[in-house]
Amino acid sequence: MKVTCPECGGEIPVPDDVVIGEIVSCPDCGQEYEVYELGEGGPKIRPAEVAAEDWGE
Amino acid sequence: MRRGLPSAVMLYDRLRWEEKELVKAARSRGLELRAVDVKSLQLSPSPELASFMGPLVLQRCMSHYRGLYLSAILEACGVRVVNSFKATHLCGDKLLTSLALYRAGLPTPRFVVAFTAESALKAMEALGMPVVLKPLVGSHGRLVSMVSDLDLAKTLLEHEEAMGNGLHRVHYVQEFVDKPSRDIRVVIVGGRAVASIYRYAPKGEWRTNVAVGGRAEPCRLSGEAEELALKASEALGAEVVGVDLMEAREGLLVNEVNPTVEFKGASQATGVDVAGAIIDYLKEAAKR
Repeated sequence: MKVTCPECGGEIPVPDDVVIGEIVSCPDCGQEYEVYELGEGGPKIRPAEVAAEDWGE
Repeated sequence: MRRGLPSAVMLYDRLRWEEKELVKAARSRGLELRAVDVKSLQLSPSPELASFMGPLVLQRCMSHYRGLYLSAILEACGVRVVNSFKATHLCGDKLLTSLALYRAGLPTPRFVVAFTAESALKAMEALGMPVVLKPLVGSHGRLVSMVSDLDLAKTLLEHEEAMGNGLHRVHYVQEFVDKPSRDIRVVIVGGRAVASIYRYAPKGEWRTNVAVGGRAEPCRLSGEAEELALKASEALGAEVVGVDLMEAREGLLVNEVNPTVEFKGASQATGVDVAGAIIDYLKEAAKR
């Protein structure tokens, strides 16, 4: 599967077994997106959250 | 849901390599693991929330506070959360971790806490430069600073005080431990050390976090190191954690305990299926 990068128009490959919340990145511009919905129209993406201060392990 | 299979929910906010491996391992090991993105939830304690979650939850949020408060809400509804709210609370705060280790009599670096920049400077002088200044909450070595002189100390403390968040005005100063440029990460699952690695600091960096470019290599754990790591996880009441040990001149020290442990480095360096070990543990827990 592929989605179009809203930032640069590049094609972002999305694995077939993608899970909601998975991060995909545009091979052209490097922008990271989070897959937030899976539907008949294909995966929907939005810009991934930027690392926050309390992020970690 | 297929009948008969043990089941659990995995809560996450960002699907890292680890969470994907957990989903795969659950599939191959016969655990019905439902992955729920917490960013889409609206939470109010209720029997409906408890039944939506089911009896067992693996909490894997990258955001400490999301994971912490989620655990609090779910435990109030009677859901068992791995790790527990209490363990996440203690492990997620470096001061509370240090205090739990101190109470348990486990060796850990010396530290001083001070509530103003002025008294933090005195604490640094008393400990002797260099020292390490750490935010109470945070990971991946973020904002962890080695402080080698008082001028730098003043600047860093000024920044901490200006950061707005009250937590940054609780200054946690730790001794700089003289050790090799590596530490030992022990991944513990249900009272068992399942994988251990050395984490080497990258060139030009003193921190060993894989997130700052640290290199993972397999580590054959000594009996002493294993015992110490297990005792540390017990002291924190944690079930699935990464314990970081330092090889100080005077012996091993427990540095930190990570409650939503990232294990990509440990899995890839050792070949141990850490995700599989966690899933096996959850399967046992689901039966209880």
